Amino acid sequence: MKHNLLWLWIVLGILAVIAIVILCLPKSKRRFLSYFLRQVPSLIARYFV
Amino acid sequence: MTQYDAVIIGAGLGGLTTGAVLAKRGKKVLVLEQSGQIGGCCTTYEVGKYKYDIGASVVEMLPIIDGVFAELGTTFEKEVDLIQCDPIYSVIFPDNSRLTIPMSVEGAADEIGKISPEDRKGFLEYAKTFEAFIEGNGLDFFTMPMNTLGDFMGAFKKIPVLAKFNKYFFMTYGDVLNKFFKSPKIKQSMAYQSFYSGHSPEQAVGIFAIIPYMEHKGIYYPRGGMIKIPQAIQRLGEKSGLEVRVNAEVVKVIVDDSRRAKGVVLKNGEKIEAKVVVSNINARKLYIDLVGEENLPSIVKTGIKSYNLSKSTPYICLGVDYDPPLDAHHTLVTRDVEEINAFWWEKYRKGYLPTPQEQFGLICCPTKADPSLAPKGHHIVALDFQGPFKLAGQTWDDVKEEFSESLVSYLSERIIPGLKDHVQDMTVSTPLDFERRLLNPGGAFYCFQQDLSAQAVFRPASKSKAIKGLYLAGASTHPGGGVPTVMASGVIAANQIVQYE
Repeated sequence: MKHNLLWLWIVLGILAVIAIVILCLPKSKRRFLSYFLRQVPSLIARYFV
Repeated sequence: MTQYDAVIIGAGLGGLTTGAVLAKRGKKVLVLEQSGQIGGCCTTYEVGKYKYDIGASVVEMLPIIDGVFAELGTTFEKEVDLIQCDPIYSVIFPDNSRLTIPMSVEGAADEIGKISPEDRKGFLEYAKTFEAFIEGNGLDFFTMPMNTLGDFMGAFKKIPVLAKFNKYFFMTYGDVLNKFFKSPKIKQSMAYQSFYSGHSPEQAVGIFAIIPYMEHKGIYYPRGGMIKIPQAIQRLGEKSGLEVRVNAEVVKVIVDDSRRAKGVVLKNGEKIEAKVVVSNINARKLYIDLVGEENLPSIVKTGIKSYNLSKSTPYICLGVDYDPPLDAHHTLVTRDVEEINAFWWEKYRKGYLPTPQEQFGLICCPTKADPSLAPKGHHIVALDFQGPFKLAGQTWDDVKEEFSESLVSYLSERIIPGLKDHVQDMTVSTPLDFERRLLNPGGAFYCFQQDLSAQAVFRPASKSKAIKGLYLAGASTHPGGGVPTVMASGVIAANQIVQYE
């Protein structure tokens, strides 16, 4: 049980670091990143067109 | 029934180029155009006394176009009477001050230095950087097929300079401006050109920052109008037996049980058989409407529907009976770069139609280069400003007149004195008009978005992966929209047909 919780904290920690990094980016980079991340799920399908 | 080696849908520059190159190589080819005129987004219409280009307004990146004409056994300069435009463009800043950029790099650096001495050096460094890309044959990237990851990796192997410039594929256009320039005014003077790739500086791929530099290699206007380019391609093709039919709208691509294209059906019911079908239309319209979803694997349906349509624009052509105070063929009306980016993300993409005071864009005065487009003493002023296809809460038919008149009034008061009082003819094409005229969804000039997520292998392949015997040319496929690039796509398609069929 303790072992499982440790992994949960590690994952949450990584997500927190990513969130802090994104929040520290200038507004222009956040806009671009937000747009680009929304395109990523389509990339595999686009490759087959 | 005549059977063709290839039938081509759309007599835009890409389709005509594929047709002419295939005909030159001995193929029997038919090009079908739904409208009454060839050229697509690179064409010229006669309206009363004036000849208006509606779409492309200049040509640059000549090495690519020269390569196309070489495929046809001739040269661009021999087939089209080209007028060099120098100065290459003028800029009008929000405070109404102006900057005119000559073709010479040194001359441009001097003009930039008058506004920002430190950016003189930055400009020379910028020019040196992108000159290295050209000298390293980096433009060859735009003339190679890009259907698979293998093609993509192969390009990096064949063109070593690409590896040196790979960071520019992961930067934005705005990042490149920030890298070389300090003055907000100088950044403004080169920001608008990102829209030549269809995006704001913050969204366009960094490598497109080569565009302002390419203009220093020469920009040209074809005497008689932009239509002279597609007409030259058609003429050369016809010498080799190419057939071109206008007013022939294709409504279906015939696909057999083995998912192979066998020909097309016209709106009047006529069937035309061919060994291969080439599409020069928007690839979404091709796959969803003409091929039919029933003939597509589900991943292809998902992929083709995932693209955002590229930007369109309202285009106002004015015939005027005076010499407008403009310094160059192209005049850029700019704003602060951050204002342009904020407008793009927060307003344009949400259907907001800007007021004249919020506008930025391009003014083209082609009669400065070619007076033959208008009667003596008259000029043409074309306004290419911002306005999305989908307007929030209204349609272009509702606002067309008010939008045009208020913009002309504003420009007349602020930027081109006397304009409003000298208008003899005003011909307006809204994004909705472009959709109707070109049968192109959204009136999208470049068909799809041209950011990193829809380029090269992520753009619809020129050799269809879903339908055998189906090939793509034009803005929908690599290397995307623009006069030289769609012509390059035409050669890429022709080469692949010869290789695989």
